[in-house]
Amino acid sequence: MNPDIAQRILSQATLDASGPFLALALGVLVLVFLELLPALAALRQIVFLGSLAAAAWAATRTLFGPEIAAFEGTYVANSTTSWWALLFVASALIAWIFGRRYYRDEARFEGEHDILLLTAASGMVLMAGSRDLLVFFVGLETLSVPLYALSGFRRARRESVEAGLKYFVLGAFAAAIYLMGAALLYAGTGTIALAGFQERSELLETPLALTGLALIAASLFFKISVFPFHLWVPDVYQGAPSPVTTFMATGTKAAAFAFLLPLSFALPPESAGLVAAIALITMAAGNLGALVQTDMKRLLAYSGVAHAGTMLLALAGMHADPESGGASQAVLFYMAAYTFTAGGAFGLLTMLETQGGRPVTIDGLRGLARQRPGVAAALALFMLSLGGIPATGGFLGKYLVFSVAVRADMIAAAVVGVLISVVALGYYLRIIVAMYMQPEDATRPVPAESRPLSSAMALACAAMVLVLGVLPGWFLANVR
Amino acid sequence: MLENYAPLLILLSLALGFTVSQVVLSEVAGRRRKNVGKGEAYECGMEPVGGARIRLSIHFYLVAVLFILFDVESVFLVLWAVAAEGFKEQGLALFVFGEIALFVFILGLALAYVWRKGGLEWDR
Amino acid sequence: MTLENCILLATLLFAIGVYGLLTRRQAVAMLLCVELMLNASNLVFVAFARHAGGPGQILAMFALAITVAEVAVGLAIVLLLYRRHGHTAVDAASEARE
Repeated sequence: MNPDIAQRILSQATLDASGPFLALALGVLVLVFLELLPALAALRQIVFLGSLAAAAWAATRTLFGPEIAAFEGTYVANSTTSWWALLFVASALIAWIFGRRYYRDEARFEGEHDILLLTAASGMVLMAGSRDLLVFFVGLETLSVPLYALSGFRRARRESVEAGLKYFVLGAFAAAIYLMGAALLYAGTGTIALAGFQERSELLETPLALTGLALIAASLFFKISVFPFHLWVPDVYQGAPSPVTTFMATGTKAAAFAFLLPLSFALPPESAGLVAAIALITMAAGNLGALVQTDMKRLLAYSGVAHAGTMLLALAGMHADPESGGASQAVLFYMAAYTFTAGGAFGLLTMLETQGGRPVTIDGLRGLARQRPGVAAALALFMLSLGGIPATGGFLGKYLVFSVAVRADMIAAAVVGVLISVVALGYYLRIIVAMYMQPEDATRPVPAESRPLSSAMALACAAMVLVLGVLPGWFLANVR
Repeated sequence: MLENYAPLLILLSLALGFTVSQVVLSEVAGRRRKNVGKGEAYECGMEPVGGARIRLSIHFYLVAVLFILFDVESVFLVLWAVAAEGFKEQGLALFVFGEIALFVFILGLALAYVWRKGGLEWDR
Repeated sequence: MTLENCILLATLLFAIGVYGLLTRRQAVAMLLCVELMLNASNLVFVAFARHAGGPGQILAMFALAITVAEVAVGLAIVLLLYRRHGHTAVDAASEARE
């Protein structure tokens, strides 16, 4: 045995770097093993939560340390990737807790549901840490394939299965575009490592490599759902089971951004204007689409499109931003605030849908404040944060993103962006008005039922939104 | 570069010309007799039974997909086998064997799961 | 075949796949088109690996193995839709439907 190479592969540093991913992957294997033995089914929840906890613990170990490169530099762990990993764990936990007792017809497949959820989370961690086109592709598919199955998880419901098929067809399309882009980039530069692109940056200017980059950017834009690749979002978010929507809305977007940020150095600086234009169009398309919706999940789906556009604005300003790492910090903070805000909002909708037995519409929320003041207050807080009202995490995220654009001398784009964001307040406030100022529909009572776990999770999300909004100093000092 | 393909082109045109000329010649010069036997599909000399587009039971779908999955995943075994010699020279044979053993174990776990859930039962 | 020819062929295959995907509404036909696109990129990987070395062949192998898993899940969804709900058509945007 050659000790040098073996040590390089199996060192403590490698274990530290891949810890979060290993914890989740091991959790998946143990869960599959538990499926073999029905007698041990009671252990499932412990294993699931234990795996998430282990991943979070492993991520905190590299939170403040220097960057560790593992597997010949194809995978890294640094402060940023560790924050992303924590975010993915939080996203999976939110989706899982709100998903308890959601599935009635599919209750016997709950084990599979948890396995798929955990697999997707491990894929996200892999995506965030990858510094190589192949490792990213493996992560992307590890995330996407379970999500196709999860979207169609409510097998008896036509809209769920159709959402699964739609998500699959478009997801496979995006994967094929990504792969073609990777192939052209490899043909143009001879390497697939991000570090290799940096070394041979002159080769990135060749038509072959530029086409490849454009294709990869297009496939990532599909995953973060920006214009013109956002049309699938409302259908899929509405049709998919609500816990899965919660996970998709928060986790998938974050994972794609986590890789787009380190990759974006390869984009030519001239593309900044185009990316900014796409960002603004996306914000407009998302917000205008949301204005006319009545179904809450669909409305939040459009709102998610608008938020993706906002974050893309930070990416557009990245090149010209004099403060290095400013865009990365802005997107990470924005995404953290969005994860807890949208996670909480989708989660509460999941809860109301489970209790009411039907999809939640804006009219269905009328009079909620009187019947269930706690739920209404939390939902109102989430709406305010999504709208970017000061003292919430959402406001600070928007502030950070727009200041990146201003620093990068894209003042016109920032002003237009702020104006479009104001339009968004229209539909967020409509929901609050429905909950607080409109009489309830006597024929459609909202059944009250105590759900301690979901309530605690909603409370935790609300607390995080407020903490990120009121006391962001610690995060801003430590998130880089 | 392309002239290397010239013999192939000649062969192709010869084959094409021969086939087409035979079909055309027999069509023009041949005598025609019609009967039932001639119109039937040829099936190893037997009399044909049913159409070719019969429907297969959906049960076969699961087995077929599972077969494809495990079949293609085992492509990584080929990669390992091709690279094994090089790893041996580097003194990494045992280490790499351990890795591939882990891979096979995970595949085995997946197979056990499929088995346990009844995915391998033909008539269900 | 030269490298240029390979890339040209791959681009053609890719374009056919994209065209088919955008014009067909049957799920199985769309699946076939996706496969065409995926294999076009595999062709580029393999051709370039032979031309200039590098990890192209490994990439092609990984792409192959992963996309098979993807398509297996996709087929299962198509089958589920067909068996339970009796159709396999994909509407690109159902905004107009409502």
